[in-house]
Amino acid sequence: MKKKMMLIGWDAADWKIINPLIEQGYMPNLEKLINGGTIGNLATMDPAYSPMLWTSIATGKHPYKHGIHGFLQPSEDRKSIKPILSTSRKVKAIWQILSEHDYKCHAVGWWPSHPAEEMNGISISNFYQKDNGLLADGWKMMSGCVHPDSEEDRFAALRVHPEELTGQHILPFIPSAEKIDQTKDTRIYSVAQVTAHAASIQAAFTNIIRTEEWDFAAAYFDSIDHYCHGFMKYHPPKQDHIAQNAFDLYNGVVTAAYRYHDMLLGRLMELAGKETTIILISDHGFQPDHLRPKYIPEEPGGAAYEHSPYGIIGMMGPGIKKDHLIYGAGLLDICPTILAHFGLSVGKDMDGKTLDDAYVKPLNTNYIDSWEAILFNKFKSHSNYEMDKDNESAMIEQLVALGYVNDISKDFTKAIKDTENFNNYNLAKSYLFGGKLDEAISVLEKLLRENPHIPRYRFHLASCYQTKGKLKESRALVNQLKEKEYYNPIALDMMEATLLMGEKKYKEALKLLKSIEDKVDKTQSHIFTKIAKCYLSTGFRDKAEEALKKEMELDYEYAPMHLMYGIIHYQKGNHDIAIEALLTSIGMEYNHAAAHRFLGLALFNKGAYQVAADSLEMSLRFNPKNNLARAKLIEIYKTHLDQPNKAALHSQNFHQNIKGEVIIVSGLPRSGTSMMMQMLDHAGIEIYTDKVREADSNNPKGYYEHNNVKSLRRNKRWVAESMDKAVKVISNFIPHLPLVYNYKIIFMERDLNEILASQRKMLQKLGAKDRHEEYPLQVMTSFKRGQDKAKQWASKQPNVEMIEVSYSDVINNPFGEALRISEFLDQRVTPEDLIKPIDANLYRQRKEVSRLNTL
Amino acid sequence: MRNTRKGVLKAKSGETINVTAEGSLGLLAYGDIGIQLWRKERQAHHASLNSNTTPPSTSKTPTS
Repeated sequence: MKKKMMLIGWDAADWKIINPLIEQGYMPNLEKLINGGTIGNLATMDPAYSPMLWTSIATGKHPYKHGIHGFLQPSEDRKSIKPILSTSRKVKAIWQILSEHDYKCHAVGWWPSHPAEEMNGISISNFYQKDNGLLADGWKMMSGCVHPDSEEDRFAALRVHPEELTGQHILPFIPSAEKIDQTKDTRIYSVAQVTAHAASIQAAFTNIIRTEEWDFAAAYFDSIDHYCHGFMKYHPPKQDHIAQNAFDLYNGVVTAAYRYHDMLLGRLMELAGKETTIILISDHGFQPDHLRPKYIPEEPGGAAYEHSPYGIIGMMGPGIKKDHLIYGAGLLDICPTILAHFGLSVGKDMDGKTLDDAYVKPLNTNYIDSWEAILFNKFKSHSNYEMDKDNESAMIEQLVALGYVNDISKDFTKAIKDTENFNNYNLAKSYLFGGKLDEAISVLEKLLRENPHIPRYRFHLASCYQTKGKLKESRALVNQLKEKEYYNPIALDMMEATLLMGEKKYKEALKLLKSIEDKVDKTQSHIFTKIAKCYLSTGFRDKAEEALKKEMELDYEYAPMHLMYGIIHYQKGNHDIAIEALLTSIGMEYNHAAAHRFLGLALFNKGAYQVAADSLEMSLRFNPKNNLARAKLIEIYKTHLDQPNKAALHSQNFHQNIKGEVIIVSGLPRSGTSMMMQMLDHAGIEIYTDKVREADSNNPKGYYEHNNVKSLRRNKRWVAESMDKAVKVISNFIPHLPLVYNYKIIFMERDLNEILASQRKMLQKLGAKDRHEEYPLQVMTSFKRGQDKAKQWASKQPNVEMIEVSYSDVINNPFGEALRISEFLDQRVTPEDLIKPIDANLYRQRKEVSRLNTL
Repeated sequence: MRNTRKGVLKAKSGETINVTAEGSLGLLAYGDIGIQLWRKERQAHHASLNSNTTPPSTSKTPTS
């Protein structure tokens, strides 16, 4: 049976608007799709500009691969600016791959798709519906809108011009339209324009699918986005800054727009029939509520500030699950899913995944390295397309009207430079979104060098440096912004606070955040999540939770807030609450390794081993180098699920992720750890010490400590510095060691009575009162618990080898113990060198202990 | 609004859409057929206004 598929794009459609309309019965066709199929959020990408996003949908690739970085581009001769064209795309789109494999394909209106591409069917470009000309003048269709061009007349006749529309079309949007003086207020015409454009796309698309053979048909409607940019500010509830009169006139436009689109969908579903798989998607959402920005920043692409991070996906048809919800779908997943749906291989260079969970039987996905390396010769690509200058100007004017593009300067040199800068800025952001931080930094550094007067480049570069851990460089840029008063001071304070957090100065960061709490836009800045992080990092879990609850009231759909809430409750042992919060976070932002990892750990603690393993496996998909998740998986597969093969596979990968080896000397304070460090030092092992704590009569040969070790719970970066060295870590900190190093732990054992006696003596020498003197048993129990926990942890980790060394054995049988240690360290040291510093005089508490034991 | 009769489009679902000279969102949503029917109706209506002798146009039924 043929696997027909219809892909419908609704730019900017958002469940937050759709859900209440469905409840009111205003979108019956979408309701049918929801009930009969699979739906979910479709996570957008950054930057959320439609030509970039829809090209990512069509190619399965990040913008830095597909080459579309904005709305405009300089012409080849660099003498003018032109709208972005299909010829700018550097990689193959889904319809090209399907066409080459003889699937009958049609695509209508995709952005950008002008000039219309050759394919095994009809393609209609995104300029087809534009009303660049008066109806009375004949409204000539520009060349390049239709492939094959022999079909131009057929489709030109199907376009709807806004001047054709009547009150019947406008009144559903603006019931009091007669009150508007159209010589002063042109918003009626803009509604007519958007409505006519959608009608033109619908007419061409319905004509094709009614009269042509097809396997794959795609149509893109920009209309919801355009209605929303014009009228979302008037959507109920009324915002304080909106005039009552304007609200009364235009508050129904967005609702009417969605109802109109439901009608469009209904007709397409009817024509598609039950044998077709329908996918309805949007590229991003549109804030409909209190999150609507009051003002749009006056910067290129500023209109995108009204967007929200989640678009929609709805799928229905043969093989698609009914009444099902999927999580974690993103724009990059659409192209691989369509390829797998048609039984074609997915390119390994595609950045998304197949949406298997939407299908009753998971897709049987095959992979090839890349489609780009394969020469397609059935359909040609356009080259040297030249657009008519008048049409170019008309298209640019429409983008300016939408707020996506600033008015083009008459100085073309400047206009070209601005366009290139905007596109490069987007390229940097797309690198950043794709996790390519170094590439993003490189592009931003160049932008800043060439445009030192543009503050946003400096600001974003500072932010990138911060993410990279280059805090000094970041601070230098922030200081420059402050000195020259280049940037919004509140935004700079927010940056300063995150810098302080990066520097682990959480108290200072908290103080700063508190000082700007009342000045900042709380919803945009997510200040309460930052405050919560400061509290959490300083051990105030309850206050962190309180701050997160405030964030929740402001913006429930903020995934990092739910993630932190889940982590707090995981740490508190409230695993049910943790699981719920982490699932919420994952539902909003699926591609987050930490969320899956903590979910796995919480499920493990609930004894749900199989789902815990599934979650941990998922976390490894996003961060394969996380050995914490891998170690827990090895434990689950070995101990709880009886799957030794899987455990072995993870064990192999675990060791591949290991960056190096660290020798750890551990044990309770006064258990002989300093002596062991001395021995290793003498034997030629480099010691990781800051020498801050000097030798004294208690440890006459030095303590061999480093202050960084005390911060191990919060800061693990320093462990890299201790690679191939020996470092002293007290036993309570052992379970906090990062799992990307192999550890050889020399665990010093000493009779607890001896340890207590030694400690007491040391404190007496230091002149301090030993407050535990009267409760030796209680203290001993507490020490024992910490020690046992450290050993238990170490015994379960695939990257830890441990040797227990008795202090008394070292004193009484130095060579025998040194031999054991030498073997444990793979003969990196000789026993002879190890025993040189052993000083039996250090064993001076023995008598004291004998006395204690008789008590 | 002028109250022009008259064609009626019937969708497979049984839903009906009136075809009038003024048109409607329903006709636009119906796609190429809806638009073509609307334009014919509009043309006929204009012709009737111009001649005053032309009889009202007759209903059109969908071909899909």
